[in-house]
Amino acid sequence: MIHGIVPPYLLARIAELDDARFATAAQAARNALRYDEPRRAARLNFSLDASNNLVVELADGPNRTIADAKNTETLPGTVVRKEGDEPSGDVAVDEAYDGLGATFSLFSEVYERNSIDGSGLPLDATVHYGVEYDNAFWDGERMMFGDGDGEIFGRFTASLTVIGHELTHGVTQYTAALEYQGQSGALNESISDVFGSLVEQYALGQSTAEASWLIGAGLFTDEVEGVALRSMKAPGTAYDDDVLGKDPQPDNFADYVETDDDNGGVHINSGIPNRAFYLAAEALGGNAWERAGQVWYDTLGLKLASDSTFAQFARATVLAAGTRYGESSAEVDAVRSGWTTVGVEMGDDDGLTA
Amino acid sequence: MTDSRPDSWSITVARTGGFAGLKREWHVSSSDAPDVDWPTLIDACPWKDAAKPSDSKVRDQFVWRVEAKNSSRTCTATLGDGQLTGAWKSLVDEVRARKRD
Repeated sequence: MIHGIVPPYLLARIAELDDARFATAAQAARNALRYDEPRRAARLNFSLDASNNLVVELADGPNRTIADAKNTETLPGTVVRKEGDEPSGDVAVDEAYDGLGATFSLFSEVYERNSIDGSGLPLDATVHYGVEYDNAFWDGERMMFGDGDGEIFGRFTASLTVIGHELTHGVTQYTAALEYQGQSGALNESISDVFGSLVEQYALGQSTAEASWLIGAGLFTDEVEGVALRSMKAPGTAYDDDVLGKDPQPDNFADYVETDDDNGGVHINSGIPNRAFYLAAEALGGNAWERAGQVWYDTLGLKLASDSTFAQFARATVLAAGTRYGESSAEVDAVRSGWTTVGVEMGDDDGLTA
Repeated sequence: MTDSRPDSWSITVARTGGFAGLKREWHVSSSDAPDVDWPTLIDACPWKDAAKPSDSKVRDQFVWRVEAKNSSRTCTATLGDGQLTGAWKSLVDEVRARKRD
C-alpha cells in the first residue's frame, strides 16, 4: 500500500469530479473535506483488491506547521516547514515534523482519532524556543521545544517520547481535562508519558518486552549520569547524577510525594500510574498500544472528574477494560493487578461525572 | 515600606516543573551584592496579584517560586513561566546572575 498525503486543494479537485466512474472517490473527498473546516489534509491510500482492481481510500492525515522562534520567546516564530514540504535540513525542525506525524499516526491508525481534538486540528510546533531553553511544553494551542543548555540537556526534539508527550497534553485537554494539580495533575502527566512511550513503540514496531519504557532518552548530554528523565518500567532509576541528584519518582502509592513544588509534584508522582500501565501491558504481552493502550485511551473518553484521584482513575480503567473486553477478561485482570501492585486500592468510586 | 532600612534581604528563587520535573534553586543575600538596588527590584513586583500557575492550560511549563524576606517582611509568589516578565523577570534574572545553587 502506498501512503500519499493529499493537500486540501487536490482533495477539492477530487471532490468536484462529476464522473460516475469516480463517484465514490468524489463522495469520500467531500466527506473528508467537510467544506466548513479549512486547511484539512488527508492521506490517500492505494491498494489492489482480490480482483486486481485499484482501490483508492481517503484517510485522515496530519496538517503540520513548524515554526522557528530563532532563540526568542516570541510566538509563533517564522514558519519554516508546512505539511508536505521537503525536509528543511534543520534537525530540530525535521524531528518535530516527523514526531508530530508519528504521534498523529498512533492516534489515527490505532485509536481512530483524527488529531488532538478528534476533528483534524492542525498540529503546530515551535522549535528553537528561547535561549539555551531546557524545556518543552504545551501552551494550550501549540508545542514548544527548546534547544537545551548544551551542558545538561541537548535539544528537546531528540526524543520521540517528548513530542508524543506534549501532543498528548492536547488530547487530554480536549477529553478528560484533568486539573493540573496533585493526583489529577500526576494522572495528566502519566497519560502523556503513556502515549508518548506508545508513539515511540508504535513507530519502532516494538513489543512490550522490546520497548525501553523510558521517557526522554537521549535528552541528557554525555556529562550526565542517566539514561532518561523517567522510567515507566522502574520509576526512580532513570538517573543518578552528582549535579542532578537521583530520579525522585516513587513506584508505589505508599511513597506518594506531598509537595508544593511543580503543581504538587505532577512530574514526580506520575511514576505510580506510569508503572501501573507498564505492569498491565507486561501482563498482557504483545504490543502495548493494542490492549493496554486501548483501555487507557477508552478511559480518556469517559467523563472523568477533573479532580480525579488515582483510585478513581484506576476504577475507571477497569470499567473501560470491562466494557471493551468483558468483565471476566484477561484485560480486566491485568489492569486491576497493575494498580494493586503499585499500591492503589480502588473502590467502587470511578469519579465519573456522567 | 522604607527602602532606607538597613535590613538585609534574603531572596530565594526555585524553579520546578518543566518536562523534566527537575528542581533548581538560587539564593542571594542583599548584603553579598550591595551594588544592586534590591529593595527597588522587590517592591516593583506585584506580589499580591500573582495568579496560581495551574489556572492556565499550559502543561510542562516551569513553575517559579520567589521568596524575599527581611526581618519585618516576607513576600512569596508562585508564577508560571509565562508570567515571568517585567519586574518579576528583572528580580529573578538578578538573583540567578549571582547564583548559589
